[in-house]
Amino acid sequence: MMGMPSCREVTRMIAGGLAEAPARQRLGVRLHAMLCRHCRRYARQMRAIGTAARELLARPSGEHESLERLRKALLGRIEPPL
Amino acid sequence: MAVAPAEALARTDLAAAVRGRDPAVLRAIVEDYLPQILRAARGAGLSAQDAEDVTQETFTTFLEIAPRFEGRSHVRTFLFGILCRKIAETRRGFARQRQHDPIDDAMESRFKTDGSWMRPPAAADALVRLDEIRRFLAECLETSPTAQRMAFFLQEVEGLPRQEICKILEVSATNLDVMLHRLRNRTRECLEAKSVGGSP
Repeated sequence: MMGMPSCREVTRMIAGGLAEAPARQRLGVRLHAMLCRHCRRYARQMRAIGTAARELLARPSGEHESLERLRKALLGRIEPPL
Repeated sequence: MAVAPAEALARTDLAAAVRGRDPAVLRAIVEDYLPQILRAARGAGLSAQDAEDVTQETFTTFLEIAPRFEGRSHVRTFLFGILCRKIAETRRGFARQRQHDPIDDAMESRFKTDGSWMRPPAAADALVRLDEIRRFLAECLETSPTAQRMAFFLQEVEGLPRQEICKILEVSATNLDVMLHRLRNRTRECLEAKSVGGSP
């Protein structure tokens, strides 16, 4: 595994969010993961957590009612009374 | 009223229009960003009521300080920034990271000195099954502090670039990394304990 990041480093890169990492780093992680099933598993788990979080947090319960009230409260303040 | 929100927000003189309190532009900003701000507050773990309150405060402040908007950052960044400062007012040490967090040790203990796994992630298939994660995710996210949850929300759900998240939370890139590691690893450990340890 010469020149390849260690498992510890790979998990750090993954947990920081890989999308914006430099291409070299991403490549290192990919190569490492090809050879290491533990890191593959870690990466898979992190991806699954991300997917589930997007589902869970993108549509909080009671959102519509809150938004209705907020719109009413805020938009009314914008038009200066003539 | 005649101006469509998208059009109002695409104006090249947006900052000047905000400063001049152009009603069409302000209305478009409220309409457009209200759901995002509310969702972020909820995403950071605030209750429905607290999230609604802090969202209202955020936009009230925005409307008040609109005449001073310089347009150096995107309206979105500006609004998220106000939101985080509002949340910080009620939660002391909001974006301050503990020097030491038990999750760092927990992670460290999983590796040998050469950096390879000593205790690799559990082979639980449950941890990649979405329905299993869904069952416990909300509960496991609760174990992390508000600022970390906000950072995670902004990256994972909103998909904002790292640089913008740093600006919103007023933290360095290194600090943001620490926050994201801690939250993701703590959440993973919690899920692993629940699905592998068997105790619901």
